[in-house]
Amino acid sequence: MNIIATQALTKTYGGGVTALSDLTVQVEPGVIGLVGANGAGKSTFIKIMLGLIAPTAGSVRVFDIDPVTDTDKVRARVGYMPENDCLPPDVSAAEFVTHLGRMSGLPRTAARERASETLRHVGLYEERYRQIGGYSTGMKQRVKLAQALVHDPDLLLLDEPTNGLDPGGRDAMLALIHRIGTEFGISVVVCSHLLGEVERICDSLIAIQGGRLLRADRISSMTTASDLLAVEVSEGTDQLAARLAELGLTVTRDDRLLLVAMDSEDAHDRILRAVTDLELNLHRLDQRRHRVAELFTAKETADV
Amino acid sequence: MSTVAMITARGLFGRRRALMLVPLPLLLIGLAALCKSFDVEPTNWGQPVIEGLGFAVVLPVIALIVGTGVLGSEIDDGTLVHILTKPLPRRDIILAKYLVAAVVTAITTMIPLYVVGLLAGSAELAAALAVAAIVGSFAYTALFVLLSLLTRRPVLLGLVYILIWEGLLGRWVSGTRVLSIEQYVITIADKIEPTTILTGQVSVTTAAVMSAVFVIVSTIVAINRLGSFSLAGETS
Amino acid sequence: MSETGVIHDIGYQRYTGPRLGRGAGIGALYVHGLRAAFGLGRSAKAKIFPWLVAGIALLVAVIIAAIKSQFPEITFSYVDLDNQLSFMIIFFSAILAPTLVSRDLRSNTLPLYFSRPLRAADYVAAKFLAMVTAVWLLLGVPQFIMFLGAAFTTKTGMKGVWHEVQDLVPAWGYSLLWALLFAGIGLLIASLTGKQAFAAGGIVAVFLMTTPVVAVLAQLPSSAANHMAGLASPITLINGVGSYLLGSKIGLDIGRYGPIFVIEAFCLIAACLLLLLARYRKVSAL
Repeated sequence: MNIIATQALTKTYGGGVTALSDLTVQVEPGVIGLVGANGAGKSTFIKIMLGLIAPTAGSVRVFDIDPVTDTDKVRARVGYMPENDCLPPDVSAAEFVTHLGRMSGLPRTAARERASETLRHVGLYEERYRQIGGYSTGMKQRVKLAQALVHDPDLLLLDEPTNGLDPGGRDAMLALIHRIGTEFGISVVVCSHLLGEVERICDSLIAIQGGRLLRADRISSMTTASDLLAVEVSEGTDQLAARLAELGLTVTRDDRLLLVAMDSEDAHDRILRAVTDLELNLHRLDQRRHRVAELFTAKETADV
Repeated sequence: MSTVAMITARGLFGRRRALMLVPLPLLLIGLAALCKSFDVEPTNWGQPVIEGLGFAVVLPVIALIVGTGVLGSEIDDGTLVHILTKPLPRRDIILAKYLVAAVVTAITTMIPLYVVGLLAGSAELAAALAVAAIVGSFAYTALFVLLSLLTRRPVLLGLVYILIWEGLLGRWVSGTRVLSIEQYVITIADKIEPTTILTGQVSVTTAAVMSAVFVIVSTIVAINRLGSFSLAGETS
Repeated sequence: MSETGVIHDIGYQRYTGPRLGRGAGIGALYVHGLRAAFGLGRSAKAKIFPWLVAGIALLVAVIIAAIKSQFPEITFSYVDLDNQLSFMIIFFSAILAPTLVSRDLRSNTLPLYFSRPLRAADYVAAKFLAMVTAVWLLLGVPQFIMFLGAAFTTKTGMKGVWHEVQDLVPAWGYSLLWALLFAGIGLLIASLTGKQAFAAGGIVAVFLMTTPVVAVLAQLPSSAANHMAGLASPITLINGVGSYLLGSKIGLDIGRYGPIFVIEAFCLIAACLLLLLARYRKVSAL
């Protein structure tokens, strides 16, 4: 079942700025990374899903509901955490989250209970009765997350949740998001311009650039095919390349490096054997830490 | 010190809020011109325009916007710390900001009042109104700059002073007039060029001395206050 | 309760209770706004100014009720109370409108509201009603105190009480008119800026600077201009509507132009609401 499905989604702002262009994706439940540089159209995509702005062309369905016509139904099931600071300084987190819970339609007592429960889940305990103005950036991000969770949505839209956090804070926030996606059973769309960050916690990735879809796929299918071994020898690189090709390995030459696709478990041993057979000096043989980033530059077209 | 003054002046005019300074003087001149064109006797329209609008609204409101703007907005958004960390005596910071505020207020209020004075009577009346406006500008801005250092809600407190102290109590309780800048301004204008339009209700000595007291005491307290100023957090 | 002293992490629990619709959200926002208007549920500092104004209004009502019970010949009607408190209403609006709308603009909370079922119109409606109620309470409660004073000291029994009721109810309506107009204008100005201080200053400036305009127009050598001078200021506009509808003379002489006052008051309130709505339509899409 798809939680989000778009068909040729396009959004053009007045003045001819195209924020999204012909975007077609289907998203399955789980933790989804929405990556792209600043201005790639991530926030526009989120706003269209929330029914805050209407698409210029194409269609979008969230839980098979159209956010343009059935805005209320979508919003009732979605929680949104904006990118910018959006908290008033002079109220306590408990009060603020309760208030927003009521705005989402929770009855008074339920809102209060849900507020303290979600604040506990995001890791704010006694501090929740203090005024938000005195919070650290990390605590504020947690309050923002809690307000998105308070009405127990089925989908969370998080816009740059790690913005402004130190490395420790980032890890904690990512771990929390991962927990929400796995233990809480809530699907999460994480917007980020840092691919390295989201790939750690996501089940699938959607990459957009300049409003166009670059690639959308499950992380697992992106990474398995891509494991490479980098081989460097002092001389006779061509000789080795020929030999490895004879052995049935896929070899690409990258300057002084040979990149060998690790398609079988014994690829490592076979390379070593080839090197010793040819009596070459091996400088290095290491497994490339595949980075999803490379996939996007390598593959231009989207295969959904 | 001149740099602080420059930055302050630019901060005042560089933002949209400077536009708030335009309609009030224009309204003042426009009303006077309207009355003049209908040949209404200045004795009839002078009082509501000059006293009712000019001295009771335009002068204090502009002084409030400017006076609380020069320092208050920096305290509000936390940029005050940039100036405080500069190797400048805090006295100079206050004086520079106060002078900019007072001069800006004086210019924006004396010009329309001068024009209104010309329309209402003579060049002498116009000059008297302009002088009174300058005195009022210095006294009001001193008070409002001080307020922006004493409280987190300087505009509200300033409004309490303008609306309730001068506007409401000043009308009925004659005792409060001794501490009303509006009354000093009216008295000074009336003494320089006596007309039937304005009636000073305090003695001219009181007006002059008290205006000076407002300026000096407010500035000294403000300097002391900034000296011990600590930047509070966002909580109020 | 067998394993005392052990706190169980029961994990995340899905919410299965009732979910109320948009109406409940509007209601909650209205109550929240009304409480915030009087600083309830907020810091002590936020209570100072609203309660200062409310305190003065109540005090005035108690004093008048006391004086009227001693000297029945003094005529100070329920309607007069509103007019005498006009400066307090301006000040109250200058505190209230920024508290209700500028704060949300300043701290950027609007995206959080508008990502929920709430619409721009709902937000505007809830805030407007909250402010109308607050201003009306500021005037209506003191009027009721005056009524109690009059009702308990009346010499003519139930007939006297009934007579007072007949005076009180239109006066409550008159107070409602004040509330509607001040809420509309105040919120519109406050919705333009996130800085509460400037919003407050702007509101006071608008109300104060229009009053002398009326005084000047009333001097013009044209009886039509004199009668319609009141249209230039919200306060005299309200006076004019009151004179026309209640049939008693309040403030300026409006001649036979009463209907124009009514039409302008209606259009002004409607225009403020429409502009507010347009403003929030724009904000909610950002």
